[in-house]
Amino acid sequence: MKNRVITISREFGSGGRTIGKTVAEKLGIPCYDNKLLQEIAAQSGFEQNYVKEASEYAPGGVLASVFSHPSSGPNNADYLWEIQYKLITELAEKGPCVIVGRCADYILRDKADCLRVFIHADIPFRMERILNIYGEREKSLEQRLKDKDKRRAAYHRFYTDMKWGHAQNYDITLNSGTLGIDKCVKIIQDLY
Amino acid sequence: MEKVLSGKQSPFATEPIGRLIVKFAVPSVIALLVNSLYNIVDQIFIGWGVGYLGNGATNIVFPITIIALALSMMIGNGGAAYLSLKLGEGEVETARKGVGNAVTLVTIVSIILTAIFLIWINPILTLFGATEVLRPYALEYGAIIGIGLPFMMISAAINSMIRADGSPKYAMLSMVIGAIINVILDPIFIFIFEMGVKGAAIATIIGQVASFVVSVIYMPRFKSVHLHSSSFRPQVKTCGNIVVFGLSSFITQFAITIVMAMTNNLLTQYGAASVYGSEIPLTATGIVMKVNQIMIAILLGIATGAQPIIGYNYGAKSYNRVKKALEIALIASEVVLIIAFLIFQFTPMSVVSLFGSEEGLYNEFAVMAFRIFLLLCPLTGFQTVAAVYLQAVGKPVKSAILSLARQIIFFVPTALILPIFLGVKGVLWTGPVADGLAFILSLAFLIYERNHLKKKHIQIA
Repeated sequence: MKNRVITISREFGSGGRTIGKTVAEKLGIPCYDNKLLQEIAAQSGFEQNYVKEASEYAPGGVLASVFSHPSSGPNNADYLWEIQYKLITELAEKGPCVIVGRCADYILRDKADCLRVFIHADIPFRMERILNIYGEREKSLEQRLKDKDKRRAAYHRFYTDMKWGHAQNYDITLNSGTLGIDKCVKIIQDLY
Repeated sequence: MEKVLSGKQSPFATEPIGRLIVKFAVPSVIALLVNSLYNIVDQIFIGWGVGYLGNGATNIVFPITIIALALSMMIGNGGAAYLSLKLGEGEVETARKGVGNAVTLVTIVSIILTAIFLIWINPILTLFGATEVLRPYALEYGAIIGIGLPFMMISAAINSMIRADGSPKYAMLSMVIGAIINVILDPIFIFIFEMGVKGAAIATIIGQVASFVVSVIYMPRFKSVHLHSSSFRPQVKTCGNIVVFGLSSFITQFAITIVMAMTNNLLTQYGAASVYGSEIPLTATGIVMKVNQIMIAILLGIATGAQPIIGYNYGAKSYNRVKKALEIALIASEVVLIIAFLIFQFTPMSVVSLFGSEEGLYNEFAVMAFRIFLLLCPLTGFQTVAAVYLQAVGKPVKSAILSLARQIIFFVPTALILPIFLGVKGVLWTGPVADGLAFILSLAFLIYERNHLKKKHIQIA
């Protein structure tokens, strides 16, 4: 019997991580986010902030992914991908859980009984959220949101055969901007 | 490439940087050198046995060899990257398909390329700069080289994957056997059987067939995957992935082909208007470029060896080790470049005379070509190391731009403009101008990245 796992993919700033954590708390199952990050860092020998960047974001668009492989040897991102792939597989085998991001939806496609969620919201909502929660006040915030999303999509494109954010790849997609964080939590909880 | 242990016990984190660089750079330097020596040896025998027109003919045919190499590297490196990645995921079945599909793909592509080349050999040679004097030699040489292309391409692609399978020595063996056979047969065909450029071409393809056989023998012996006949059935998705993974190798190599063809044409065109005529500049510059390739092979080897070490330590935030590795790579490159520079400037004739004894005008132009074209070659070391650094800090596009800067981005416009004013010498001055501009660009990128990095650190703090 495969374990029931909720995978949450999300646009940057949409509150996907908060939703994942809250759902996990309410269901009484673990949510692997920072802990997973720490473990990847420990196993790779890389520093945590570096892992955070290199294990979920391509260094730019699709072209950058292409040029980050100048020779046949694997690069840092490839090592991280390998470690991340194994760790997520192990975690899903251990028991039911919530996993935020990191292509878990792809990695667990035939290894767990997944509820695949995608959380998105419009730009103003995400900008305001980042402003309130992280206190970041940058003129270029909108640009940064778009850049982060683009690099997440490119990462998915390169390491999985899935197109990030395309409805066909998910069981449900939720707009946290119009529904609100709490409602999103409730819906996922009911679906579990 | 050697598999890296992950975690804190990784040799990248603990072993002395100097020893690490030697361990990683030496094999890649050797691999790259064997390839360019292959070419040089051919040139030397042709120079002595046929004369400079023979060398000129090989320069005309050379771009097709580079296109072939670019395609096979794309498929081979792509297949190798796909193999490592899928093995890392534990997806053995997919990994198997990757290797099989890569072999099928390179076979199809190589046969198509050969067919295109042999059917339209005359217009293609014209495109690459053939003059009426060189054409008969180029046709004779090219027709045979064309037949060898599939063997060369398939063997090179399989070798990339053999390396990824953890048998770099076997891959090396396959290459070295071909090179040695070529070196032994060259003088036999050229001097004993007096077959001229045709003999050189036959020696080359016999060497390539030998490499091909050695590579193919390995196929059922793949350690990481057991190949089935069904693995070879091409699938659009798998082939697409392979191409994407190997695309960067292709772009760099293919751009070089275009530049080479363009330079050939400029040299014959402006040469015709000078005392040297069309053939002398083409041949002499061709030799300069091939000697230059030996230098580039060493630099690239050092860079390829340093890359994973710098990349790993940047990720682990061991900045001291990053700095140390960059320093060692830069110093090693500069030592090679400065020795080369001194030879080119002070005893260029010793290099020129390796490639046959010719008379006054030829020697005069060849000496001038070495002195002018490679005048600023010591600057290229900085550029390759800067490209490695940018790759490590996650700026792959900038890194690629730097790698292409000297060879194409600055080279092409300069090569088109300078000869208008300086005649055929203008083509030679393109070398130092492109080197100088590429150096300035590397410096600009480095300074920008450093400031950017500082700003980021302040933000975090």
